[in-house]
Amino acid sequence: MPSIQSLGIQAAAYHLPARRLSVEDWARAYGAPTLRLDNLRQNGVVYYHDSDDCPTREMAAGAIENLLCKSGISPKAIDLLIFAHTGIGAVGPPLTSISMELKRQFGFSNARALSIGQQNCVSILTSIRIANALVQRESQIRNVLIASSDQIRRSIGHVRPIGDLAMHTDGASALLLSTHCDRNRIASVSSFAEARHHEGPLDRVEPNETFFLSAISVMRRALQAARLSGGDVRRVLPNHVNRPAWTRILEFLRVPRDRLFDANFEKGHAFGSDWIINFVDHGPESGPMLAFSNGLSGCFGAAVVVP
Amino acid sequence: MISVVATSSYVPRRTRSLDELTGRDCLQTSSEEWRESHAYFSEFIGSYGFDEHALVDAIARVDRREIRDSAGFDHVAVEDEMTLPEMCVEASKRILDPGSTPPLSAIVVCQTSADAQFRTNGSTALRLQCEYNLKELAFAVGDHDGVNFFVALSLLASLSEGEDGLSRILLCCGERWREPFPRVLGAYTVLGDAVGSMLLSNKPGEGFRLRGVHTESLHEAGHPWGLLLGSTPLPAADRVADAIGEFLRRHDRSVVDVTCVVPPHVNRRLVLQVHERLGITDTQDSRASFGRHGYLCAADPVVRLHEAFARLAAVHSPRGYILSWGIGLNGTVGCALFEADDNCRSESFT
Repeated sequence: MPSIQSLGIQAAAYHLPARRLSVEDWARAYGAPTLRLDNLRQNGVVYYHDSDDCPTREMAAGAIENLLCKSGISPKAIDLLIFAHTGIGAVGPPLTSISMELKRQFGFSNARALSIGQQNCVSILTSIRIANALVQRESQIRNVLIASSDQIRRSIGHVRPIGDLAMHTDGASALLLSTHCDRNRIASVSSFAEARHHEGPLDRVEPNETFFLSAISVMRRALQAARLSGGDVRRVLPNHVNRPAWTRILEFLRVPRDRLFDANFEKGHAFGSDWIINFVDHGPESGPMLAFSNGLSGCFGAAVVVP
Repeated sequence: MISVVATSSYVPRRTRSLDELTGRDCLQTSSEEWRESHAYFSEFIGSYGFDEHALVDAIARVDRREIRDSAGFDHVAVEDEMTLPEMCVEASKRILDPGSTPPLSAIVVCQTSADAQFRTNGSTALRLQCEYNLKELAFAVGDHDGVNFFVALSLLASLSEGEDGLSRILLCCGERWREPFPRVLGAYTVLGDAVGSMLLSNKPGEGFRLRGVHTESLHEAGHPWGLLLGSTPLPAADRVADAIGEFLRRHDRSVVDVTCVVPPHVNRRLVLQVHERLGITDTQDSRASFGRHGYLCAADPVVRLHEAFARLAAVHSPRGYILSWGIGLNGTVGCALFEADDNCRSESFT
C-alpha cells in the first residue's frame, strides 16, 4: 500500500442544498413503518438535504465556490481537475462532461480535466491516490482540485435510506490538494473492493458478512502505510453510516471511542463526501486523522491525514 | 514507458441500419430495458434543459444521405443480449485467464454510455475486479468520450513508472447505448456498441511500446447533443491536424516516420481532411473498412488499434511507428505513438 506524503490538503469545502427534510418527512412520503423509523433514528439519522433534482454540477459548483473563497487560490493555478463520481446519478446524461463544464465555468484554463469513477463512495480516495502518483511523476502538477457531487433523484426517493443504517443526503464536496502545502499532509490512502458484491442494488443492503473485517482491514492498512498505530490517531473522520458499528470498529483498531468525530451523523450520508464534511467541520487537529469511506458493492477506503 | 502486450475486441454481430435508427419510432420500443432507461434519460434530459420530443424530431429530420456519403455510416453494431460489464468480461477473457499470473496490478475502464447501472450501484470496473479477483486499484476514466482512452493511457504511463509502478494493467474500453439513447448525432456520426481490451506492461521487450501520448482541449464545444440539434459546431480539421503534427514534432517524429495511422471512425470527411492536411498517404492509412460497426466512442481507439496491431503483428518482424488519434465530442483531441518491439507475438493480437 503506497505511503503518500506528496500532497497536503490546502483547503476543503462542501455544499449541502438549502432544502432540509427530516427522517419523519421521508417516512410520511414513502410510508415507512414505525420500527424502521426508530431504527434509522437509533443509527443517528435525523435529517437530509434534498437538491430537488437540480443537476449535480450545480452542487459541485457550490462546493468549488466555497473552496476558492476559502483558499484564495487563482483558478488559473489549478493544474488538475478531477470530478470523482459515485454512481450514475452523479453525472449528467451520457456525453455530458461535468469536469469540462466546471473547468469552463470557473476558468480553470490551465487544468487538465477528467473524471474518475466506478468505485462508488471510494472514488474520491481513489482520485487522491491517482493524483498523488501523478504529482510524483509530473512536476508541473502542483495544485489538484477534486470535486464530487451526488444526489438521490426524486423518482428513486424510496432508496434514500440504506437499509436501516443511514439516509443518503444530497450534497457536494471539494478538496484542494497542493504539493507545497506543509499542513494536513495525506500520509497514506488505502482502498479495496470486495467485488463479489459488484451488483450493488440500490433498494436493499446486501448482507456483507465481511463488513467489519474489510472496514478494519482497510483502515489498518492506511495506518501501517503511514507508520502509525491506532493509539496515534487523534480524530476519526467516519462516513455517516451505521453509527453503532463504530464502537466495535474502534475497539478493533485500538482507537479510543472519544476520538470519533460523530457530530455529523445527523446530517445524513453524503456519499463519498462524508469524511470531507467532517474534516471541514471538525476544524484544526493536533495529531493524525483517520478518514474512512465505504460504498455499496463492497468498496472500502481509508486515508491518514497528518496536520 | 509501458507496452501493449495483447489486445482483443468484442463487436456484436447484430447490426441496425441507418433507416432503423432514424425512423419516427426510433426511440420507441416496449421492452423492460427501454422503460427503465427511458425513465432515467427523460429525467436527465429534462434537468439538462433538453426536450425529448425535440431530439426525436431532430433525428427524424437528419440527412441520411449525408450520413452515408459524408460521415460514412450505413449501419452500426448493436448488442442486445449482454450488458456492457459482461461485454467487457467477454472481450478481456480473450487475452486474460481469470487465474493468470502474474496477477493484475490495476484495472482501468473507459466508457461513456450508461448501462446496467440504473437500479444498482454496480459498475464495469467492479465487475472486472470480481472476474479477475483484483481487490486493489481499479477505476474508470471519463468525461472525454472518444479521448478517454488517451487520457487513461497518459495516466497509466505515469502510474507505471518506477520500481513501484503498476506492472500489469487491464484497460477495457467499451460502449453499449441503451434505447432510447439517440445513436444518431446529427449528420456528424452514428454510435455503435463494442468493447476493446488491452493488456499493458511496464516490462519492455514484447508488443507495441508507447512512445508518447497527448490530450488537448481544442475549443469550447457545446453539449454533444447540440450536434443533433444543430447548435454545436463541428470540430475544425485544421486544428485537429495541427495538434497531431505538433505532438509528432515534440517526439522528434514526422508523418513520414509513421508506418500506420489509426484514426477514429467518427466521420469520414473529417478524417480525410485531417489526413490531407497532415500529408498522410493511403498506404499509411488503416481506415480501409471505415464506418464498420459505427463510431465506437470510448471503445473506438482500442478496437481500431486491435485491428491494426493484429495486421502488423502478423508480419514476421514489424517495424516502425503506429499513430493513433481520436477526438472527443466535447472539443478534445488525443493522440498516441507506438513502436513495435522486436518481439511481437502475433497470437497476442488476434
